[in-house]
Amino acid sequence: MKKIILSLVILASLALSGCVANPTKPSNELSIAAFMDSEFLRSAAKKYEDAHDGVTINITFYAGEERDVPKYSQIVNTALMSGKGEDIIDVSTITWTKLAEKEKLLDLNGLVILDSTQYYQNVLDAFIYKDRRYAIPLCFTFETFLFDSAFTEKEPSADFTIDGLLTLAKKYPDNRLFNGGGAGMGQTTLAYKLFCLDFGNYLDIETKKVNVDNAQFISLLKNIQTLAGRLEIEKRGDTSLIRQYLVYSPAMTSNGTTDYANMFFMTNEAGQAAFNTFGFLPAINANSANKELAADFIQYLLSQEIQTSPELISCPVNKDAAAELAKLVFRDVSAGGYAPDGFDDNSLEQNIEKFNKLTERLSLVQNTDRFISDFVTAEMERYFQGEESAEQAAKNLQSRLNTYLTE
Amino acid sequence: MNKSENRRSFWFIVPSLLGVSLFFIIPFMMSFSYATMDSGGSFVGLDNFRNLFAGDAFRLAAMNTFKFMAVAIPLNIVIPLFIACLLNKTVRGGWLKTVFMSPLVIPSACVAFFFQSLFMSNGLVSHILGVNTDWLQTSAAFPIAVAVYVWKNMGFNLVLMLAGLANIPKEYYEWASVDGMGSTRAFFKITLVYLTPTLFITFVMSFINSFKVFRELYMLAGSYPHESIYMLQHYMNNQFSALDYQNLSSAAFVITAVIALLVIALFVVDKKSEFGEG
Repeated sequence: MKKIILSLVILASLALSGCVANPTKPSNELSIAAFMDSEFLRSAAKKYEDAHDGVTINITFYAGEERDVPKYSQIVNTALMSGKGEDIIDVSTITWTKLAEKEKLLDLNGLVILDSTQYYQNVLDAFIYKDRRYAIPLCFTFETFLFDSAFTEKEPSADFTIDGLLTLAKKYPDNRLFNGGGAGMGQTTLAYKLFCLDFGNYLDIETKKVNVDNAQFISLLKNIQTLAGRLEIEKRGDTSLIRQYLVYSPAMTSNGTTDYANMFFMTNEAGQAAFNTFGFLPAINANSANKELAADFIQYLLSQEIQTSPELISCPVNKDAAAELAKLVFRDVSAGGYAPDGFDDNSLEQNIEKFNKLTERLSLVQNTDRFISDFVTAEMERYFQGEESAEQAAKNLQSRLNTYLTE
Repeated sequence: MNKSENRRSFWFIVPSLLGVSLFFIIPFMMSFSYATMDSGGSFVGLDNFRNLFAGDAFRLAAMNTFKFMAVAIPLNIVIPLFIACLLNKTVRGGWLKTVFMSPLVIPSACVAFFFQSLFMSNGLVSHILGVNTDWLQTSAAFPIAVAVYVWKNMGFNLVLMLAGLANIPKEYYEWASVDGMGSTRAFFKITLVYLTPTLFITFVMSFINSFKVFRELYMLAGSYPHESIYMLQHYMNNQFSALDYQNLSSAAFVITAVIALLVIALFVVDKKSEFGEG
């Protein structure tokens, strides 16, 4: 009897382990999983359907029902791990490198053509992981320090590395460092931004190496501590404003006399600055039956026609589209009589050129792994609140990140 | 029991056998296939097990779990034993038994809240010591975890031990006293000897409950706590959240094998002992 029961259990196990997802056949029906509702994506899908007879695009916006990032991440992970899931996945809020490690995402090199003259290549290349391109950003945002000309005349070569900030702090002990009109930036926020600029020194995701328990991290914390109360920084990270910089910048900043010469990035020692992607970040499901169609749609999303769409609310990765958008905005503001005095088509062209030059320094993508950002900011917060020493914070963070990466 | 009775009795256990097979045995055996495959479904032999042991996180979790058991289980036996011996001598100890049992029925969330209010940076301990320290983020997290476990579980062991002590005839102690045996010697020669079956049960229960402390630790310090209290359950839970079936299945197999070996060893020891045979 025991033998019969054992045999039945083993047979049932084997039979059930054979149950795998049936591979689907290629079709003209493209499915997309997106985190947030996006008018840009809806409109692009509609245009693509109109331009391609018989193609249907079904978009599921999960944020409508599941409003938090972990839930969306779980839904997508579960689908991909079981060999299912939509053809195109929005990985903007997902640790996509882990999915890439598990070979659940497709390498888009060769499938999507990226002409370096056409795009902000440094932005696109920041997403290369282990020589492969799993996700392609459609647009980007970044944060800058804006200064009035009075300051930049005094400090024409101000350097906005952490050392540069400290030098300025010593030089102007009675002033707030950044006298902008925007929201102030807390110590943890600034420390985390500087941490991200040297992310590669602290963490190597590919080899799972952590190097946080060192003098660099400890001095970062201690240095930021010395800047307490002097960190009123004007942030211009938000999106639609970036597009308008191309036109508006002279009128945007504090006293109306500044231009791109007064806009600075916070950089690491190598002069590299960081950017964020905004909204939909497409990747292709490795199990998709419609890989070519999915790749073609992503290529379409990168085209000048789609990238010029007003619904794309941050800077397009397509250079021509960015310039085109700036011209459209300028036309609108001029028609409304809101264009800055003396600002003409020629000024606009110059601004576009300056903008393109400036964005060449954007080669680091802000960390999007919520676990890593939570660990780092939590330890920084504890240090700034006096709960632990900088050395203890570095030691704890080293241990926590190491555990996370080696799991 | 004859053959037909044997067959009839088999049908009585079929429903529970089906349930256990469907929800435990079959999924567990199925998971073994995951442990021998990569994420693409190709057979990789024992590679996943090798990767598991090569990973710092798994080794840290295994070592912490072992350390936790080595410290917490003996404490969870010795402390209730001491209290049970004291209570056994007092006639009116009923309300004390209730006090010691009460943590067992307190929901985990309340336990976590209570300990958090003690050990967080603006908690009672920091206030008394005049510091601003989140103790759960320091190496003090380990003794706190042990305290949570012992506090929550000792009531159960206490009741078992009181029952065990009540079963030891008082005459044995009287005879021992007449023979001039001191109370310490009587404890080792009579109490501990006759309490062995109870101690065996409390050991097994403490061992099982030591895995359950994860609930409180998770609520206290999250899925990535201080390195000293990162347990195997944290590892397994995080692997499940990441849907890393390969690592999860490999770890589950290793842990099951270790637990099975330990439990078998315990039962062998128990069987060989005088009381186990009874």
